[in-house]
Amino acid sequence: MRALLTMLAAVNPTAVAVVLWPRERGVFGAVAAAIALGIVAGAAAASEALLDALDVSEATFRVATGVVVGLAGAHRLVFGARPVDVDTPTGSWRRVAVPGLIPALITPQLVMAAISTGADDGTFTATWTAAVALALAWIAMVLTKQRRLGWLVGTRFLGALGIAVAFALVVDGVKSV
Amino acid sequence: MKAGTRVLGAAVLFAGSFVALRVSFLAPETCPAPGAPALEDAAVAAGTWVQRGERDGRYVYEYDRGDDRMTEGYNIVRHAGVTMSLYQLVRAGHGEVLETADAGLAEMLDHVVEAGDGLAYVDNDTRASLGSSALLAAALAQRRAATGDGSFDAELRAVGRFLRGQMTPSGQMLSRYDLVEGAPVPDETSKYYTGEAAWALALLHNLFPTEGWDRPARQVLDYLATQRDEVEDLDYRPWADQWAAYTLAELAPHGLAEHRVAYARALAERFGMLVRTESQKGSWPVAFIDARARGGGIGVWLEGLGSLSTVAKRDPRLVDLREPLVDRLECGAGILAERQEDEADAAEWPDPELVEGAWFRENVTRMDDQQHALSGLLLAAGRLGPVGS
Repeated sequence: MRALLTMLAAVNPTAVAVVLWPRERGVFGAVAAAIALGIVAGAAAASEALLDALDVSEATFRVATGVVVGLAGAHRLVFGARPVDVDTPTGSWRRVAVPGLIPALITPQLVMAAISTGADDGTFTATWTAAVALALAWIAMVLTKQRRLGWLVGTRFLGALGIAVAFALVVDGVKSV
Repeated sequence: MKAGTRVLGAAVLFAGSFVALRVSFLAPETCPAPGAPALEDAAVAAGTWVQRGERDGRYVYEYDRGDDRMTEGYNIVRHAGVTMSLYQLVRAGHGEVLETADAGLAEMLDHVVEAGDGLAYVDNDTRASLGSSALLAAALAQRRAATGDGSFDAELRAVGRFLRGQMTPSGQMLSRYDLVEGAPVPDETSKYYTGEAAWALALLHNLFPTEGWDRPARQVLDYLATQRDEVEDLDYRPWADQWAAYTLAELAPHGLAEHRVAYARALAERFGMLVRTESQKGSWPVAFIDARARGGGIGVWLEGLGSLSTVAKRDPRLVDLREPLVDRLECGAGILAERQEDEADAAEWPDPELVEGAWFRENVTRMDDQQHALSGLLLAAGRLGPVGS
């Protein structure tokens, strides 16, 4: 359950909807989400090797993930999200990269969550929980939306969730032997 | 905004985040692994430092190598602790320190007085402290386990009776006994002495299993496990009490109730976090929490981890902690051994004999730095276990 909540907080699908306001083409969004999922799966699969290379334990990485997810959550809670301003033309496949992957989906908190969940719960758990969060993000980005207020409320709510998840990660990391 | 600028911004965000984490929460955990023989050698060197400084049964209390000056003053609780650790070294097969430990013991036995139903180890105070007597009992127990010599059993039991008399119905231990009034001083407690007394009582139980020492030992342990931190308002709960961990290790062969296992787990988490953080400090550009821990501090953590490792090996409910506890124990021991002053380091100071084998922080070492480090290193080297094992 914590893995799923961590991924939801790290992806923040409602924030993705606002960043890509008013909507993104379904196919572009799907490709971006699929690439993001691939990155998550790869990071999770490489988590053990990454932690070894960094000379840190799973518990230490969990604390660091909590800090990053918590800061991102606090940013969303306080500042919400804004539609991204980029010069990539509508209808161009380049929109998959910008703004689809950057800055909407691939964030420090998602990468940290992928590695931490991969190390703690395995690649499969990291992948399916990220798949759920990214699927919600895809739905949110392709929906035709009218008023932004509800999405901003959702963004802040998921930001608050991020802080709660961060607290759990830090406490669990600190309490690990 | 141009897409390229976005990508560049993201790259800067990722790189900046990584650098910020790498010098703080994600700093590398540096764990030297010198191996068990080197850890044992380090413990012996610590014991030798104590041995070199012993005069008429008293040890070097505190030494400032910068000023080449020994600090005035003495502390009998620490004296008892150092003597106990020397007997642990004897138990690990290093009989060369037995004479020094016996000299330290003779000094203690010269200063025992009747108190309550037994004997207490005192200095010139009119109030006997629980801690000095508890560690005297622990020293006597370690000596008996090391040598098989029962010639001090009467004193050991008498000190045990004094300890038992300091216990309140809740299992709390009163830290002082008024020798003039002939009664325990009410409401005075110590965050160190209660655990020391619990361990001494558990050692007594394992040496004399038919004499009923287990009841007070368990009662005090339960107080430590369930009430102490709250009643005595200790910060950072559970308080990192290696004496409680020693007690758990002594009592584990007899079976531990669920709340004691929970306490063992909580202590393991606390000691594990302390060692993990210490292993990262070398990579911090600025000390966030504290400067490097003193030798005695890390030694205490190793005593806790080593004792809890024994508990985890015995109790299947802690099976998940076996490997992490060994990892942390080895990590902390490696750090400690690396920070010990060797012969070459010592040669650079005015009195190398008071430097070699010791741990210094801000150029000062105190006898309990060597005491706790010695005990912790022996545990990490696998050369020490409960008396009851």
